[in-house]
Amino acid sequence: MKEPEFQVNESLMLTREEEEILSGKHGEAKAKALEVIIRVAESLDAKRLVRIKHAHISGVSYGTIGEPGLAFIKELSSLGAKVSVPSSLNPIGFDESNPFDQEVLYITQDFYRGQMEILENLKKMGIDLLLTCTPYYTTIFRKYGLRSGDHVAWGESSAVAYANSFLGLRTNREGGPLALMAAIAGRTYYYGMHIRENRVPRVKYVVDLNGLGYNEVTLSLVAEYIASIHEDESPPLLHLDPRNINETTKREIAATLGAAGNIAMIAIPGITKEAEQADIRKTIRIKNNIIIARYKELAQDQGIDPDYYFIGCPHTSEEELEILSKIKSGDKLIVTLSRDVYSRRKDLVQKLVDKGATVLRSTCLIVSNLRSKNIMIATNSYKAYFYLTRKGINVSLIDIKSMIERLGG
Amino acid sequence: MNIAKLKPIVPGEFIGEIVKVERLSFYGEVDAKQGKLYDGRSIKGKVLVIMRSRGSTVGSYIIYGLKYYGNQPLGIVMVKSEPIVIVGSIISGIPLFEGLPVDLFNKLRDGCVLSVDKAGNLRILEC
Repeated sequence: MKEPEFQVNESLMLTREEEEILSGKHGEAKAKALEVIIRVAESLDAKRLVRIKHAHISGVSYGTIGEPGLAFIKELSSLGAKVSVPSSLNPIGFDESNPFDQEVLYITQDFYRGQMEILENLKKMGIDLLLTCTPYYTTIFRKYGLRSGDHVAWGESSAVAYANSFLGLRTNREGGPLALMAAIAGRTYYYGMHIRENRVPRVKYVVDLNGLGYNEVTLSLVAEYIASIHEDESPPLLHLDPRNINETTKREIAATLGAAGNIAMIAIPGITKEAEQADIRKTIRIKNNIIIARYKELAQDQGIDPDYYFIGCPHTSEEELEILSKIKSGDKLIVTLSRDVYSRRKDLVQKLVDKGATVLRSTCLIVSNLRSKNIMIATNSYKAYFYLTRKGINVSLIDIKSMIERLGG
Repeated sequence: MNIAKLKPIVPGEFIGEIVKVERLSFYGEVDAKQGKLYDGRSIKGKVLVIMRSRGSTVGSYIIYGLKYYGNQPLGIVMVKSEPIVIVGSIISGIPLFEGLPVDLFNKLRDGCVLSVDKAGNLRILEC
């Protein structure tokens, strides 16, 4: 983080307050944080910075950032860093109510120590320990008065795509350290998704999934395909009947776009405001057989009995908890969710636990450490498929409705 | 021979052997502690050539981790960069350039040696 001779490029306009921050008048940590944001702004030819209303910070699990991440956070914290806007955190590496006694996860003492140190340092900065990848299912919107059109700096690629596409919030895909520094500086670079014109779709994708059906798995495979071919800087527009989309689908499409690609936003007519302003210059018809072939590849093991069924990547919603609670046997079911949804719906959690399900708070399988890699997991999450298979775990995709049927719901 | 003019994102210069990846999520597809890609190829002391990045916003920390463990590449050359990689490179002091033409990306292969100077002039020395 050392930048000895720092000079701001003249094409970047800074306010008087920003110059003051940079001079160290508001503390060394805030100056350092702003300096990094300015360097990113300059490399992207941004003309100014933008004040943000909220920051959601990714890169919190010791399992993902390890010692290097801990060292980085500690250094910022030792400079006396404090956030200057309401800020929240992504999941950690275990369920804090029960770190060690897990059948599914395996947490060492070192892992526990590292994780707690990360949390202590971030807490000292004044960050809300929300510990979820779905901040939009929690009370922060009311708490912080977030509204469509607000500028925010969010890490967590799935939440970024969800925020831009379905909440009208404006954020780029902020790297974990950048989201943290934006929280400290209260600003980010004015670029990409913050600028109204850049949010207007120019490429339209059309797909007909008759024969396969519309659910979070099939539509995630559509999102995967779009992420692999979309080159335009503007968000893709996906032409779909809004009746074919529910809350689970929205979340899983957003998560897929962030994992398989680097897309920060998708516009869906009837759901995304910007779809109405679309200026379509190119229409791409996605061939049904591409999606069917991919479906066969990733969902081929549906007939096989997996070791676990997994829901909650990104974290489970209240509605999903409700339908999941109707299953007969939850012995093989793992559900991950935020502590916020957990404490609001203890009744449903209890029902699931009574049926044998493992319910984990504040963590998820991809940011934690699994006890065994020699397992087969069936999940409705493409994102979980993407990261778990890269850890050498067998994953098969199955939509939540079919999963519940299999579990006797 | 000057082959291409790149845009410096994080300044620096380097000469080295390339390791080429089409799409890369630093988180999940790079092991910082080992300095390796998830397919086993080492990137330590190499020039990492990427068409586009993808995936997790934790990627910036993984780039920082490469530096932390002394496994960082000499530099990163991309067709198109993105903030996650830019931030990671800035906090780790790893030179980053963008604007590599796609047809040139397609011609390059692992083991080719290239140099990039401070101004972004890319030269292929061996291929």
